[in-house]
Order: sequence, then C-alpha cells, then structure tokens
Amino acid sequence: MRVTQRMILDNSVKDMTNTRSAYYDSMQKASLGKQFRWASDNPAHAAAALSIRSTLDKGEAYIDTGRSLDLWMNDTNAALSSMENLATRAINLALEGKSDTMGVEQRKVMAKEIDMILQQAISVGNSRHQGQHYIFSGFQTNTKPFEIVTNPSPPPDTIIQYSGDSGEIKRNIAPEQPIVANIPGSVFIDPNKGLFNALVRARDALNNNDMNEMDASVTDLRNSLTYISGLHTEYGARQRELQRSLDRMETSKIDLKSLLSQKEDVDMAEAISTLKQQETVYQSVLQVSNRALALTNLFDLM
Amino acid sequence: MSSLFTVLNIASRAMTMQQKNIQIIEQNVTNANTVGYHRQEAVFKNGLPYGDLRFKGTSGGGQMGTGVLIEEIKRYSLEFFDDRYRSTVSNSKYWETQESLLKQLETTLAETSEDGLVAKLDSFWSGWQLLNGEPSNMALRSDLRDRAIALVQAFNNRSAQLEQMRKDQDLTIRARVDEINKIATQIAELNREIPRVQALRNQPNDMLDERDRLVDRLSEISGVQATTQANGELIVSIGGHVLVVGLKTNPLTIEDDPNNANLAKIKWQGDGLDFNPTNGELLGLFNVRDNIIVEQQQGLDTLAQTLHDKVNYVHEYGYSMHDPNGIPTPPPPPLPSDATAYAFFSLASPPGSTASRLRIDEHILDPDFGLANIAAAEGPGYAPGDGNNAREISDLQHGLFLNNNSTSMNDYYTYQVASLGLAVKRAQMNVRDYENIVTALKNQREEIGGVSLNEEAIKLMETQKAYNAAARVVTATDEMLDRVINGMGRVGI
Repeated sequence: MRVTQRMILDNSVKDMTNTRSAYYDSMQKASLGKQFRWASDNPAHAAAALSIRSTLDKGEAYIDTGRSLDLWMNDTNAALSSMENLATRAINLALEGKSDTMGVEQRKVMAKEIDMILQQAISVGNSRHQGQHYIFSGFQTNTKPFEIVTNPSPPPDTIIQYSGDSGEIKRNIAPEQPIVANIPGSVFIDPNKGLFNALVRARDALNNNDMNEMDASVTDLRNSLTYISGLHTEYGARQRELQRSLDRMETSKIDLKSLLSQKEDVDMAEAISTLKQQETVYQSVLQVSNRALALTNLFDLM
Repeated sequence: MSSLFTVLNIASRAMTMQQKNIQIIEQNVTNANTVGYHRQEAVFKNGLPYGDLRFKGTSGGGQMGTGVLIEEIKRYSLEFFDDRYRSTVSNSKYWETQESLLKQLETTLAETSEDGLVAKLDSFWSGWQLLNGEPSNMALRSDLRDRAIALVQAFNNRSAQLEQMRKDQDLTIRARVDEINKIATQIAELNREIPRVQALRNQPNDMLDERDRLVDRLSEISGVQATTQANGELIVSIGGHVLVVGLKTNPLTIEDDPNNANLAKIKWQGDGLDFNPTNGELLGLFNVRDNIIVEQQQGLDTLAQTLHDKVNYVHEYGYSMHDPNGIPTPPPPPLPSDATAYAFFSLASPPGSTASRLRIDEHILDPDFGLANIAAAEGPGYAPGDGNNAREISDLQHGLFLNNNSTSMNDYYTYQVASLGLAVKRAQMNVRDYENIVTALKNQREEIGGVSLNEEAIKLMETQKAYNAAARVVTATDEMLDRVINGMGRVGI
C-alpha cells in the first residue's frame, strides 16, 4: 500500500480529534458525576430520569402539604377528644342530678357545672389551627364559628349561633386522592344529636328541676356522645389514611431517588478508570502522531 | 550517419528532459499537503530513430535512437474512486449538518437541566397544590403567579428560539445556493479551458485538479452526478437535473415561500422546476428546517394549547377571592357563557405559534386585584378555606389529554425531549459511521493520487544521476571534439 504524506497527516489529525473528544466525554462524566448532560447522550435514561425527577418533585409537594394537613388533623382530633370527655362528664353530671336524692338547690349547682362544660365545649369548638384558622367553621376559616346568644324575652332562651358553613375542605394526599380535612361545626348544633343543644337542654332541665326534661336530655347527651365518637373514629381513619400515604410517599421517595441515581449518576470508580484509560490512549496517539509526522523521509538523509 | 554533434544533441536533450522531470518532482513535493492535488509523473519515451536500412553496411547497426523525450505528464487519478468518494461524502455531510444543528437545538432547549420545561410545569402544578392548602394566603397566590409567569416565559422563549433557528438555517440554505451557482460558473469556465488544452495534446493537470475539487465541494453541498465527456467536458447534474453542460450553466434561484413562513424555496431558473436536494448539507438543512424543528414547534404548540384550554376551563368555573366585605373585585367580570371567574391564561392575537402567544390573562396580572382574581374556591362568597378549585387545577397534571387521551402533559413533553435526543443520537451514530467510510475512501484515493515524499526523493536521485551522466557524456564528447579539431592532422609537427 502506498502511504502518502496526506494520509499520515489526515489520520493523525483524525485520531487525535477522536481520542481527544472521547477523553473530553469521560472527563465531563467524571467531573459532572452524571452519565449524560444532554438527552442525546442517553435518550432512554434521560427520559426516565426526567419523569422520575418530575414524580419526585410532585411527591415532595404532596409530602409538604400532607405534613401540614397532618398537623391540622391532629388539632381536630384533639378537639374531638375533648368534646368526648366533656360529653362524658356532662352525662355523669346529668345522671347524678337526676337521682331522687338531689334537691333543687343542688341541681342548680349542677346546672352551673354543666353550663361550665358548655362554655368549655364552645371554646373547644372555637379552637384554631396554629392560632390562625378556625378548624370547625367549614370554608369560613377566618370566622369564629360559635357564639352563645341569650334571648332575653322570658323565658330566657339560649341559642348557640353557628357562623361557619358546611364546606368540605378537600386536600389531595396523593395524586387524585382527595380526603376531607375538616368536620364542619354544624355537627355540634344538630337538633337531635348536637352536643351543644343537648348541654343547653340538660342545664335548663336541672335549673328548672324538670324530671322529664332531665331524662330526655340524658338521652340527647348520650346520642351526641355516640355521634361525636362515630365522627371521631371515622376522622381517625382519615388521618391514618393520610399517614399511610405519607409513609408510602416517603418510602417511594427513597426508592425513586435510588432509581434516579441509577439512571443518571456515574459509577465513579468506573468513570475514573475509563478516564485514566482514555488518558493513556490519548497520550499514545499523541506520541505516535508525533513520531509519524516527524519521521525522517528520504529527503532528510540525502 | 552518426556524428559527434548528434551525440551532443542527445546529451543536451537528456539534460533538458531530466531538468524538466526535476521540475515535476518539485511540483509534487511542494504540493504534498495540498487538498485535492493529484501527483504527476513524467512519462519518458525514447526519441524517434533515424537511419536507413540501405546503409546498414556503412555505419553498422541500422536505425539509431535519438535520445529521450517526455511524452506526457501523467496525472494519477481514478474516476471510479472519485464517484464513490463523492456519494459517500454527500451522505456524511447530510448527517454531519443534521447532527450539528440538532445538537444546537438540544443545547438551546436545555430540557435536561433545572431550567427544563418539564420542571417548570411541575413547579406550576405544585403551586396550585400549595394554594389548595392555604387558599387565602396571598404569599402563596403570588408564588403561584410567579411560577405561572415562568412557565409562560418558558413556552414563549422556546418558541422564539425554534423560530430563530429556522431563520438561521434559511440563511445558510440561501448561502449554499449561491455557492452552488458560483461553483457551476467555475466548472463551466474550466469546461472551456480543459478541452482546449487537451486538443493541443497537452495535459491540463492542475485545471483538472481544480475541477475535481469543485465537484467534491458540490457533492458535499447537495450530492452530485458528474460525467466526463470524450472531449474533456464535464456534465454535472443534481438530483437528475443538469447543472452544467459544456459551457452552459443552469443556475438556481430562491423564492420566498408564502406557504412556509416566507422561507426560501429553491427553483431551477431555466424551467422553473422545484429543486430537490437528494443529499448533502442542503438536504440536512431542509430536513431540520422543515421537519424536525416544525415537529418540535407543533409539539410545543399542542402542549401550550392543552394547558391553556384545560386550566382555563377549570379556572373559569371556580370562584375568585373576594374582598372580606363581600365586594367582588373588580366588579362582576364581563364573561361569556356561564363562567364565574376570569380565564387564567390567554392567547395573544396572531401571528405566531400558539406557544409564542401564550400569556397570563391580564386580569390575573392586574397589580391591585390580580392575586384575588385567581379562582381557588369552588363556591361563591368569600370562603378563605375553600381551595377546592385549586386542587382541581392541580389534578389536571394527571389528566390524560394528549395523544388520543392517553398521555399527560408532562409525559407528552418528556417524550418529545427523548425523541429529539434520539434524533441527535441517530445523527451522531451516522456521522461516525460515514466518517469511517469517508476516511477509507479518501485513503483509497490518496493511495493512487497522493504524494509520497520517499518516492519523490528516489525519483529525484534517479533524475540527478541521469542528469550527471548526460553532463558527463557532454564532457566526453567535448574531449573527443578537441581531439578531432586540435589533435588531428598534425603528424610530424
């Protein structure tokens, strides 16, 4: 084969360019720590990495809102527990007051005690999440939901006024998985099962020394306790759902991160050894080219 | 009859011829690194003999030679290799052009970085989700609006960059067409000179080199078929249409195509037929300009339109945040149909692609009421805890609205990024493959026509020796003449 001057020159240049670009690629991989910089470096992995990262980002947002929702639900849970305690205490008082051994004056004292429970219950009903949003006022989170209004016209009548609405605050705890985050305060003023109404009725019955009313109010109080417990249980289930989903997302976050790392991170040991290898190749190409180009031709010896 | 003067003649001609040969060698050596140079070599031939058979007896030996002649200066080239080289180099250039343009496109879009459109989309959806958590939080509303503005700008920028790239390529296409016309003129010029020189039985070697170089360049630009005629003229055609025949050229013209954003359309000037490059840089440029970028643009437009339609549909049926005093801000929106809130996105009026016209609605951008006009609530009245509409909008990210209701917006764009990446990779692989073939063919060509300095050095030595020998013959003849003139006929003096 005739080997001409241009062949040696062109091939040397081509080899140098190729090995240098391979060296540059390895260098980039090693210094970036990523398998690819552009999608074209590895289209399949790049697409996977893009969608994993997107899922991760979205998951992050769900975890964020989920955590704050969990705090809100803790507050609601605590409030419901207090309501249950208050209802139980009221039932005991009402039962005690109903007994035949109680006199009118004693019943009046007990009525006062039940009134205290009512005040406490209302203050629990007015509890706020992080001192800001009322948890029992539906969508009207800036409005204090309960107010005791006394109608002075004889006989004096106590009305518990509810200023919230029945809005259901829905939050996504996972993609397209909404849960209702709140319990509207209207459940406490339900005509039959509402705790507040039952408390007012029990207090008034004791005050008025009305045996029939006392019996009825105890039934009402029991109904309301059952109602609140039912709500509480159901609400607890919702919160558990939230926590499960949070746990799941935390786990999948770790999984996704390791998957992402598989798709886009470089195995450093491999990258460095490839780089070393490329370096050797590049250096030898330089040496060879140097020799080939500097090689004496016959003219130098004439 | 042989005479001493004849010997002198032969020797002097030998010296002249060897000197000429050295000149040819010199030409080769100096052009050892010239692109497209074909080595030349003197073809020696013995001179015509003289003498008459009738006088065989007198001088003896019959016909006598008359020394050496350079019959021609041979140019080493093989048309067969040239044709193969050219068709491969066209393919190679086609992919090379595409590779560099697509790489440029990929770099400008930078979708795999933090700045990618997918990341912006995610951030937009998360903004709605955060607002769902605290719908009355003005900071969150403002954050959402900023995220939306970033998203819209991402759409606008990408669209503008794609448009700009198409224009840039259009300029390159126009430049290449000018180059084709210029080369055609030069080839036609050489078509006049070369047959003229050949008619005089001379070898127009350097003109042939020049013409070959021009055809090589043409094949890079657009792929070319070239045939040499018996008289030395070259017929050049592109895609089956003649570009140069004899002294006549058939130039190309450029028209602005109103059906294609006034980009260049190439026609043959003579018959007005469309010019379709079959290969080479031009085909690569056309493919990127009219197919690949257009596909990217369309994908972007589809996505922008879907985003606009879907988000607006949900947003318009939500309720904006009203003033705590119950006064709607600003007073009741003048809306068509039964919508209850302003649109979130709007489209600027044409011209331009959908993606370039996507905007945030002016009512959302309003400095006083804009934030309140974001409809996060699903019910009327001022309900600070009602963020259900924000949730509905955030849920749109999972909606399968694209590709016949099979793909979400994020996945749609991710797929587009991946398919551009694949196109770049395919081009890169083809570039590498063709590069190897081109190198092999180039080497084949070089093997025939390239200059090897060692060969030239040996030829130089040979020639020098021959020259020296001829000079020695002259000296010997001179001594003989001296003997004849000054030493003869002086017997006894």
